[in-house]
Amino acid sequence: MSPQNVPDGTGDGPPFECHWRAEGAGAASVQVSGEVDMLTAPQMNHVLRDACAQAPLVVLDLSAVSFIDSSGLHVLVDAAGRARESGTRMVMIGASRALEALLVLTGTQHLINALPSLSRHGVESLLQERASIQAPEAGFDPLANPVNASVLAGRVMAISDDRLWLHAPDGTILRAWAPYASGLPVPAGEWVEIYLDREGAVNGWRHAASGISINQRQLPPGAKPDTAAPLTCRGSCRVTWMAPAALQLTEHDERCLTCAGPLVRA
Amino acid sequence: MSAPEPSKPLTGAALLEAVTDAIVALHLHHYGRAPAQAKTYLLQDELLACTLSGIYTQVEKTMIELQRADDVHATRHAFRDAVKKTYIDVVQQLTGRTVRASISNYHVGPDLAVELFLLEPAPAL
Repeated sequence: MSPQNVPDGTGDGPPFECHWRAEGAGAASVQVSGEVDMLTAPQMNHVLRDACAQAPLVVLDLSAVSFIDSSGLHVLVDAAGRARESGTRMVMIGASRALEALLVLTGTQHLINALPSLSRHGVESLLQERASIQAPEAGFDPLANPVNASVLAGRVMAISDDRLWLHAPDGTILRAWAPYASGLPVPAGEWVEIYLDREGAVNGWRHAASGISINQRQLPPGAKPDTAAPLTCRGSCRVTWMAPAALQLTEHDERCLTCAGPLVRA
Repeated sequence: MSAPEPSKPLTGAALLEAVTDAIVALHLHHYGRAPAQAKTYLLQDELLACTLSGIYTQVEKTMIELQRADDVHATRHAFRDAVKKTYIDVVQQLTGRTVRASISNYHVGPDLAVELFLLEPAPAL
């Protein structure tokens, strides 16, 4: 046994606890906390056996586990195999990076259903994905306008009670302004370009196929105007933007979101 | 707020997107706010998992700051249990498959929720 595998039941971490309970519809959850080592792994094994005997779906929550050694890993792999054979499905969530690495290192990751975690940073991760869409047309260069920190693709979601909801490839959900009087301006499932500022707020969006282009900069927080005025770009892209705060945009000498050209009232 | 009702069961990316949209719509309807992120996975063609982050309302965040996360989760579990049929019906409609079991799981630090559905095997073509 290597030094890091020495059981440390008297360490500074939280005490080991493991219990299960029936939850949801025909399911069970197993909560484990503290250190899982050769002293505590048998208890986890016992709890997993009980839970898997009672429900066809068991969620094993390891988010409060501070340490797990090879005996704990053995119990996990063994329990997953037993569950699969008996028709129960065990899903592990909240695994630490150390445990994920241990699973990869031992080649056992494929034996356990583990859920990938979403990014903790949401919009920050989006901002790191700079220019996930390349400008498709000559004269279009959204990053030429310094208000745009990021340009990305977003799928229009089928959520329609409050403007336009967009779903980015990393799972981030963004709400954008849209003229909503006659329903979704762009069909659900369509992809649009989204322009984000440095804080991750939506500057605007554009659906190239229909030409619908929205510039929502200068829109006061909480404002929900139903209409927008057109502003035409006199730069290289010639896009006509629908702007719910058109007056404020021109007063602040805002530029076009797709080429940084000057904007004039249409 | 509504998700379009497909005329036939969905598969592949269309299914994952539709489940994401439906679960987010339910969250928005029930809690008054959409999650910050959502993504749906299908594991081994039988486990549908929708992972949500940035889920908590301002009231819940305050409770969590006051070390009352257990109360927040108890309330979420109780509510989810009360409306579980709604979630199951949505998934069954989108997949065309029976949901054998379902469960929700909530976390703080990171702020996450998981909606899990175990599906009956797909009917043979």
